[in-house]
Amino acid sequence: MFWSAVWAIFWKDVRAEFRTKDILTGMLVFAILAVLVFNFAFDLRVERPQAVIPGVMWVAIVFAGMLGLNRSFILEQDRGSLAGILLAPVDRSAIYAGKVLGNLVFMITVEVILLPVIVILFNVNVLMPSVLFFVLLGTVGFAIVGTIFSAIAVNTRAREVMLPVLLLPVMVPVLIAAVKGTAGILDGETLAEQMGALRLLIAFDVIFLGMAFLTFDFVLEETG
Amino acid sequence: MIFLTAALIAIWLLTFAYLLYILQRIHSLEQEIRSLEVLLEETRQASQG
Amino acid sequence: MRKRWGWLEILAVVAAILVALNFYMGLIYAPDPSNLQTEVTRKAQHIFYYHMGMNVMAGLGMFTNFLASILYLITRRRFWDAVARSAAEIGVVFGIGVLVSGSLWARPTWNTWWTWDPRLTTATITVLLYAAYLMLRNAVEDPERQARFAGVYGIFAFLSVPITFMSIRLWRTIHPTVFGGGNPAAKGAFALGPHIRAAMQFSSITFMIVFFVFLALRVRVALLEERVNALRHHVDTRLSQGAEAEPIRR
Repeated sequence: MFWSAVWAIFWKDVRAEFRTKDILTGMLVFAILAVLVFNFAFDLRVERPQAVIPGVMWVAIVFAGMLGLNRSFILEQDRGSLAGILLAPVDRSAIYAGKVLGNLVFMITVEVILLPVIVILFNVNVLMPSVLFFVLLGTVGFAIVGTIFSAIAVNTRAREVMLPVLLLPVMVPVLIAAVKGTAGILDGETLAEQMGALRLLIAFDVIFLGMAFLTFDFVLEETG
Repeated sequence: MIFLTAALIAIWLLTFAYLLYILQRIHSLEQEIRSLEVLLEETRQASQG
Repeated sequence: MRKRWGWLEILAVVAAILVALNFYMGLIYAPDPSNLQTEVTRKAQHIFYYHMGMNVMAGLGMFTNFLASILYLITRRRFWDAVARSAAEIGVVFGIGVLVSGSLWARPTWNTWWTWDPRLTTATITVLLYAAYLMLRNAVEDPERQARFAGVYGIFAFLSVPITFMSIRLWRTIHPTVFGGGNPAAKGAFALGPHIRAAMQFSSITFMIVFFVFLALRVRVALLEERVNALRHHVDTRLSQGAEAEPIRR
C-alpha cells in the first residue's frame, strides 16, 4: 500500500514533467550556463580550468537542483493538486518518498546531459564510475533534504528566496564531501582514498532520510 | 591592549543592547495588554449596557 | 506600577553580580598566561573569558532550541515554541558575539582577522543556519504553522552541525593552515595555570546563568506577545459583534 502510493506520486510527477519538460529544460540550460560562466570567471586566474571543475560542476548541480525543487512544489500549490493528494488516505511519508524519487530522477536527467557536456567542453573525464558514484550520493542527499525544505519553503512569504536560505547551510557537508571526493578521483587517487568523503555522504544521506521520514508528517498537516 | 578594550566594549554593547531590547519589549507589551484589557472591558459593558 | 520580585528577578540580580565578578576574575584575578610572547597577545588573551562565555550561551541556545523544537512537535504547547524561538535568537545574537570577539582576539594572536579553520568555519555556518531559522519564522504568518515549520527546521539544523564540522575538518586536511584541536584553548595555545583555570570555570558558570536569565526574559516577551495577539483578537470580534452598540467612549 505504501509503495503503490509512492509509485503513484512519483509517476504522476515524472509523467507531468516529461510531457512539458518546462522545468527540466530550465534546469539544464541553467546548469550549462553556470558552468560556462564559471569557466570565464576563473579562466584568467587559474592555470588550468580543470582544477576548478569539481567545484564548478557541483555548484551548477546544486543551483539547478534548487530551480527544479522550487518549481515542482510551487506548481503543485498553484494548481491545487496538493490539496487533492492530501485528501486521499495516503501516508504522508509516501508523498515524501514519491517526491524525493521524482526530484532525484529530474536531477539525474539533467546530470546525464550536463556531465558529457563538461567532458566535451573541458576535456575532463567526469564520467568515471567512481566520480559518478559521488555524483549519485550527493544528488541523493540533495534530493532528500531539498524535498522536505521546499515543502516548507513553498508555504512561506518569499518562497523562491526561502529555499536557498534554508537549504544551502545544511548542504555544506554534502557539497564539501562531494567536491573533495570528485576532485580526489580526478587527481588520480583511488576510491579507497576517498573513504572519508564517502562515509560522510552516506552518513548524511542515511541520517537525514531518517529525520525526513520522521518529520514530514508535521510539514504537510493541513491541506495545501 | 586596544584589542582587549575594543572586544570588551563590543561585547558589552551587544549584550546590553539585547537586554535593553528585551526589557523594553516587556514594558511596552505589558502596557499594551493593560490598555487592551481596558478596551475589552469597555466593549463588554457596551454590548451589555 | 506593581513590582514583582519573583524567582526570575532574583536570579537576574544574581547573574548581574556574577557578571561583575567575572569582570574581576577575568581581567584582574587571572594572570597573563606565562607562555605567550608579546605584551599584546598576553593582554588580548583575557578576551577569552568573555569569548568562551558567549560560546557557552550560543551553544546552550542552539541545544535548547533543538530540545524545544522536539518538545513542541510532540506536545504542541505554545510554551515550547516560545522557548524555541527565544533560544534560537539568543544563539544567533551571541553566536555573532563569539565571532566578533574571536576575531578581535585573532588579530594580535595570529596577525589576521579571520582564518578558515574548522571551528571558525563551522561557527559561521551555524550562526547563518540559525539566522535562516529566524528568517523562516518571520516568513510564516500563521502561528501554528510557523511553530511547526520552525520545529522541523530546528531539528534538521541542529543535526547538521556535527556533520558540517566533520566535513570541514575533512576539507581542511588537504590544506592544513591553523590546525587546532577541538579545544579553543589549544588553538590560542595559552598555558592553563590554576588561576586561569578557575577564571575559566567561573566564566562558564556565570554565562550559563546569564543564558538562563536571558532565555526566561525572552520567553516572557514571546508569551506576552501571544497574550497581546489573543486580546486583540477578542477585542476585534467583540467590536464587530457589537457593531450596533454604542461607540466606545475614551
